[in-house]
Amino acid sequence: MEWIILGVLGFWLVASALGAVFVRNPVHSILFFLSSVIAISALFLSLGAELLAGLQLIIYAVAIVVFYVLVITTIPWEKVKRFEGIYKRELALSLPVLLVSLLAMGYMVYKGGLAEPVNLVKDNVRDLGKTLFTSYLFPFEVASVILLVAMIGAILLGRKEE
Amino acid sequence: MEYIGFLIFFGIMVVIALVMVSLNYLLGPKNPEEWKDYPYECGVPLYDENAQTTFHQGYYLLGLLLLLFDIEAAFLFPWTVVYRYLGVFGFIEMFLFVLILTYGLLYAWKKGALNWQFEMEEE
Repeated sequence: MEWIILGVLGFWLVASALGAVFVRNPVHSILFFLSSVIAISALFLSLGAELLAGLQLIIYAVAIVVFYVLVITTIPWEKVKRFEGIYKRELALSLPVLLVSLLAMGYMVYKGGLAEPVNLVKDNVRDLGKTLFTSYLFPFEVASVILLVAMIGAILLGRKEE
Repeated sequence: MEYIGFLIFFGIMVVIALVMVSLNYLLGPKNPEEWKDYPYECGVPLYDENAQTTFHQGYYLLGLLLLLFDIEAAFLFPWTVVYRYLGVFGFIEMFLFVLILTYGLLYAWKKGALNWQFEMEEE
């Protein structure tokens, strides 16, 4: 059963990733990207990483996708319309890299097997919360200041002088 | 198998969405006309079929603010799970965190980043 779920999710992920790469319309490409992000989140959930799945949805499926949509609004559509076909030179350049990484991964799987988790935690959300809000209290509060600085910076850049 | 509920929920959600969209298509009045979906361009033949326009920068600003508050919300989730364990300490901690970020919201408000009356602003 687990293998069926993994297979379905994996197929969904690969299909949407390929769609995001090969679709011509950038808006459709974003939709495929969103679909693949949700598939990754479902994969995390099926592996028992609930927090990671939640963050994947909150941060990737919302914030990053919104950011990509903002980028899409700046695309010159004349360029999208005269589509030049698959970028052959880039494809040729990326093939050796892909081949080497595939070989390396294959070797690793063949020789060493997949990673075995050590000190497996039962409830990762609770564990992370305890660590984050006790041992890493100061970095956590600093994060809020960093977010505040980013916010003020964005507003300062975005508003015209009065 | 723990999350079979999610799967069922997802299925129901997709079915409801599809039903809504298809009902709209089936029941809605249809009287197609040639110029119905034609973007209006001041009487002249259409220059650009996509009718792309520039976006007001307010959207970008809102997007950035969404991104930052989104990250804030991400921190809240693990906090709710360990709230009982942390007690008052955790409450003060998160209160400070949200307080600092509330300054950001107030600043955005004061600077008019949430103001959407563009025409008023141009004058």
